[in-house]
Amino acid sequence: MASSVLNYLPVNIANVIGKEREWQKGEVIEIRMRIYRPLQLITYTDELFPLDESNNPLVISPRDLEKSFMILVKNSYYALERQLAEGFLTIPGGHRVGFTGQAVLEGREIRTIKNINSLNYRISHQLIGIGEGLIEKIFNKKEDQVYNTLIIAPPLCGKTTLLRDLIRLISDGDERYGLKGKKVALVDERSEIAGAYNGIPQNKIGKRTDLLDNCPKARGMLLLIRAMSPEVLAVDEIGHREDVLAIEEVINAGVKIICTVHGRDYYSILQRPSLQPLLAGKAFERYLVLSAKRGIGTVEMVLDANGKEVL
Amino acid sequence: MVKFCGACLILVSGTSIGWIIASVYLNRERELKELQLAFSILNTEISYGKNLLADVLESTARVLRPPLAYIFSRTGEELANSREKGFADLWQENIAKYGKESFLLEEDLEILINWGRQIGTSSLDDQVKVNQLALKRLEQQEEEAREIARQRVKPIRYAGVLLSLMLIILFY
Repeated sequence: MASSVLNYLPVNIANVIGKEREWQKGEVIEIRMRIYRPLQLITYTDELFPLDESNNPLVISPRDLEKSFMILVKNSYYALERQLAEGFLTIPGGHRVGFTGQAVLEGREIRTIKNINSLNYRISHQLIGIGEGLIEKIFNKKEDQVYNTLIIAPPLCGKTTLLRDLIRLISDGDERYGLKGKKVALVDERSEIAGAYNGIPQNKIGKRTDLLDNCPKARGMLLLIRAMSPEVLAVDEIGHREDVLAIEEVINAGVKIICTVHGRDYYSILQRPSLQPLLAGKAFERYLVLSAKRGIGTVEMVLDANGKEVL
Repeated sequence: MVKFCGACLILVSGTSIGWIIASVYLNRERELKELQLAFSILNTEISYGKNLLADVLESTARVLRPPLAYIFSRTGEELANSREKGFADLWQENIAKYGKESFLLEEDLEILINWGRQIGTSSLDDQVKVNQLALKRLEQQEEEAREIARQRVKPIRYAGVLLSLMLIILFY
């Protein structure tokens, strides 16, 4: 899966990365290219600066960045305007490529980013089975219902990976836990969860999952409730006010929700003003707090609606 | 009898040459018309469908006849797989390759090349403007081609017939 990322890099850089042992073993989680600075690879535990043919660190030229960016936007800047203003793109396989440069503003909004000076390829690793141990904690067997769940973690701790696997498990069902498969609707704003290409999911998201790809979360959630009658709705990275309003609608419509949010721990989430309506109303029945302490996707704790640990 | 057959041959070939030369003007007009249709489809695919350029080129190629269709379809194919060359380079290469097989003049091809330099690198609004500008210029070229064809097609066809008649009279 990760090898497809190399198709989105200029040949000279892809060749250098492809030769690295860490890459071949699937340990690389980030490829970072910064203008006039050495190419950097970040692994689960370390970092490395690949060498070119003359055994010097491979320095990224403006032409390398220009070529990489053009490959990413597929010479179709107009088609990706919305994503470009967000500062990242998703490529097939659900890998996210972030970039920085000079922001072009329109009023107070970022219209686009020009003169790209850094690219960060975040390799998405589909870890099938990572959510199995957690299903029991977020599933109410008596009522045959999934709890409204919020996954909390800082970046690079496996939020999206866990969400993807939970969606798959809930959608397919698992007899071992008495979980019957449920209709899941997924709003994948940046095509990261399903890794869809041309609307077709590339990752395993379960046989009862309906995917709305590349759609703003808030609007997508409301559309899916009306259109697809889901039992469970899943979204990634909530935080805006309109997301919170949409989640309230979802819960009021009797649909269960599983979503993720950036945060260090439960207490840091309590400080987020935009999430207050949900937290005060005890909208979430389970909080999964992740870290990378013992590898990506380490579950620090599972909390209930009152913030008490679920054993 | 032989003379009569020879005269007929001269007349047929002279007339055909006249028609063939005249058709160059008519074919240029036709190709410019087809290109306008192609560009309006392309503009819709970009502005409404927001489809990727490689896909847009391949679907646009379907409304064209070779060799113009090849400029679009080959660029689309190459673009989908290219990691080294951008659209403008590939587009220009294919125009150089297949453009000379068409009836278009240098100035017509120049419109396509200029359009290629501005596509894929800016916002949707800009792209629509660039497409509309190319369409406008193709329309102007078509008007000019039609005017030239109006002035030249008939005289050339007549010239073919008349010159062959003149040859027949001279040698009969």
